[in-house]
Amino acid sequence: MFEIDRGAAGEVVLKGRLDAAHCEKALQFFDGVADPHVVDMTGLDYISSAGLGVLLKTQKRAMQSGRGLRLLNVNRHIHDILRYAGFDKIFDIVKAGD
Amino acid sequence: MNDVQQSVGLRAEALLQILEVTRKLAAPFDLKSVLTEIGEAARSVLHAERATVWLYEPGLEALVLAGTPADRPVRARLEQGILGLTARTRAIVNVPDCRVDQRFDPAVDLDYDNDVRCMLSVPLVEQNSLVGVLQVVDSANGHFTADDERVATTLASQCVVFIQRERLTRTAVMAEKLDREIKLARDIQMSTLPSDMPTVPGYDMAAQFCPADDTGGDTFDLVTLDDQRLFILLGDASGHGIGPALSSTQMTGMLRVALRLGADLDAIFTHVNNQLVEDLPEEHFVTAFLGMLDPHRHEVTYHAAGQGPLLHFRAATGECEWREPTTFPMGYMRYPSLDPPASIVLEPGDVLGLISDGAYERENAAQVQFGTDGVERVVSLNHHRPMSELLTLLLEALHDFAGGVPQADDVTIVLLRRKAEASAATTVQRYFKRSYDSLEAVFQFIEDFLRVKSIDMNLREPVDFIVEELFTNMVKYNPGNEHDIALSLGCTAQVLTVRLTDFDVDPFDVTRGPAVDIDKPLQERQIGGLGLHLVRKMADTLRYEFADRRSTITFTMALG
Repeated sequence: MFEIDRGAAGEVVLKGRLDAAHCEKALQFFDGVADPHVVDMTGLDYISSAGLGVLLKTQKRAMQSGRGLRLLNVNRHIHDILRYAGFDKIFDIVKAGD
Repeated sequence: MNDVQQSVGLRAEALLQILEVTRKLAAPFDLKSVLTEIGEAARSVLHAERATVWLYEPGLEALVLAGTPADRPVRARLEQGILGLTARTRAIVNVPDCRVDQRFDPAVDLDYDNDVRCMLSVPLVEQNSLVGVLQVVDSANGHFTADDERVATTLASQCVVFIQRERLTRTAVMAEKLDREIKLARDIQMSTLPSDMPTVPGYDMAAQFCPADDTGGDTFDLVTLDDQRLFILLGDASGHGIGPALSSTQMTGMLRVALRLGADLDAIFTHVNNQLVEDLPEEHFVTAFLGMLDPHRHEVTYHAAGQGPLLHFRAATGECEWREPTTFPMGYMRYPSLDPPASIVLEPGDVLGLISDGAYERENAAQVQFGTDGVERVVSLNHHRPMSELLTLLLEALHDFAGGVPQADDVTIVLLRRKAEASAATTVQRYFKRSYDSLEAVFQFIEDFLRVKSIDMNLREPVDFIVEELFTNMVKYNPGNEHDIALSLGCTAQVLTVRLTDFDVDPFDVTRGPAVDIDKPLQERQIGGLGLHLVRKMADTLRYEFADRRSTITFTMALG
């Protein structure tokens, strides 16, 4: 199960599991957001390498408009993966509980 | 006269008689009747007093007089008389007056009454090879004419056809008889095989003997003893035909008697070998696995005399181990000294596979052998199934592999599996369609396994991540491949082992590949290669194997 939507404050809200089968849906959604900034990952349980690809692509676009993505409430597992991928150096990441 | 008569210039009367003989001989006859009929026809057509047929015996370089008893045959050497001359030259010999002809030899040339006057000696030849000689003596006309020679030649050519036909028929009958005898030997061989699988608590077993068309020498036996131990035999007598079938049947018989007498494995092995040394012809031998399962200690002790490789599938690791024979085949010579039996300890879920060389050496059209790889492929994916199912899958895989190439040797398979205990280490395996849509089921499969095995659920995401990366690579890079992808999960108290197997693919070693620089600035970052970089980082061990167009990726995660 994977869901992607806009929150009340315009943030992009990710829920469930972002695996290879749902990346197309995620990417299309991000592409439809003119100036993506905050991504709320409170309900995101899992992300695969294909999901990382969606974030990387969106981040490159977001940085062109000057503001990068801010990944909020990232759980421990996903934080580990982002760190292993070196994404902590190119994203603004806020761990869950921080 | 018609064309035929014209061409051979035969008398109408003679031609009719020859046709009459041909008609008679067209009926099924034994050789003796055929030869009698030919002699009688020759005598009659040529108005002669006597006619006799001699048959050539190539092995003896001699002619034997047809109709003489087999135990006291009348023979003539090829250098003797007119008879020998006809045989050697394969040309008709017409002797108008035997009494003055130096070549005439009364010992062989039909001179029963010392009163032979004239003789016509006609070779029976088929495609330039000698079949025999037809001798006709004493024409009513005082001598044989050129016309008689033509009649005799025509008759002779008909005779050859019938003699050869009779011989071919006899050969066919002999072959049929031999077939019947081979079938009988096969029936006896089959009747010694156990009809039902014995019951041993905690064990599941299956065995099957699949004979090749010709009789081979495979056999197997499974005998439970009073103390619940199980005697296991797989034997393969060398060669083809009735002999090996008898050898293996004899061995099974000896073994059963020895078991009844309460002999131990070493004594059985030694005595049966010594008996086979005495009984088997030179250069004949039997490869055999003789083992004893102790179901309480879960140990199989065995001697493997030229019989191997032996399969020990280990459920805990999902690996196939191959054991070599422990000594040379039985029946060659007495064993100078006997090592203690070898031993295999079966852990829960382990499979012992005894498989005859007819399976390993089964070839396809490209003359590639099924091999241990072929066995491993089937066993590693299906070891958890009932052994009867695994056996069927192995036989089907062999059949599919051969692709119509006939089975040249007996195939015998004995499978023994120690049942897995619910709490013990096990491996589970499932196939998944080559599609991203399978991911949900893949994740569910992993989750179920972790729950059932009470494994720390914190491992779930990293395991999912690695499996997804490997699985989606398989989907992405082999889109047209119709084989499903196998995923197996196994664990012990210390380690979780995950294996993905992709069939009929080109090699791609996931343990190699360029390192990914994770310190690059954003605009230089690429997603390609990052996934495998993370897999290598997250897995405790990662191994890639490629064999037989099969990629196997195994990774482990430490537990606890």
